[in-house]
Amino acid sequence: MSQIKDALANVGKDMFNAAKTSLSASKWRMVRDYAELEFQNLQATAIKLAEMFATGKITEERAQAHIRLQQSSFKTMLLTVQGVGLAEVEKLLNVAIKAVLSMVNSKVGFTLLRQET
Amino acid sequence: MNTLRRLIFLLAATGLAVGTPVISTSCTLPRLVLVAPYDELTDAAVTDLQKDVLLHLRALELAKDPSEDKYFIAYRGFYRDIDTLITRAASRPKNDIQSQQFAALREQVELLETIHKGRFEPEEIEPVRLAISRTFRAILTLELVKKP
Repeated sequence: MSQIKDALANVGKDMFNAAKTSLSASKWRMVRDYAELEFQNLQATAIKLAEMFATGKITEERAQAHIRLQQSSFKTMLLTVQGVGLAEVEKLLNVAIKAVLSMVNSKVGFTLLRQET
Repeated sequence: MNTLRRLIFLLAATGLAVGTPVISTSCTLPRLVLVAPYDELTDAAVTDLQKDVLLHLRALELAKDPSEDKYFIAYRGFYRDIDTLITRAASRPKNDIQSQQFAALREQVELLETIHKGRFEPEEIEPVRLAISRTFRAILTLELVKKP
């Protein structure tokens, strides 16, 4: 189990660094503290789900639903920031997910992360 | 308004001081209305729905068998209530943000139902409760900060 934890140890940081480029500097300044916290939360959720999947406690479909629920809550929060619209929030999340998607999915052994359409 | 929206965000993110009136009327400039005004019915309906959803999660946590039919009946009421809120939000001008928040809330309840339909592990409840609570807090903070 610690192998999965080690493999995903920098996912939150990588998502955060990738997301920086998706917004203007002024908008990024307004969301960065919360984004940092939330990407760490997504990392912890991904590790937990990967461990549950590895021990047969959760199905692929249910793990994906958990991740999508966390992402949806993240979007709802960011929508309260002045001038940051839904399209920008979705872009931010997509850029962050794209940066770690193949690494995470390969380490956990199934498609846990998907880009939003 | 930048400062106000930043404050709304921080209140929602931290869960602090929900309902604190932060709109100052001491400014001598005319007040620009960039979002729909406070709506008491929405406030009350969201508060009731939050209570119902959190009670549902608590019931699932304590249930011997959460796959029993009686635990799935609650979703019908949640969808009905959220759809009513979506319709009300859409009927009010300058209310796009709230409409998007309600659509996200519906998505989250649908995802909860998907998770619930599987073989539900008690340890799955806490992250769901935290995520949905954050969503309700964001919705209510945005509404309550407009309260005159």
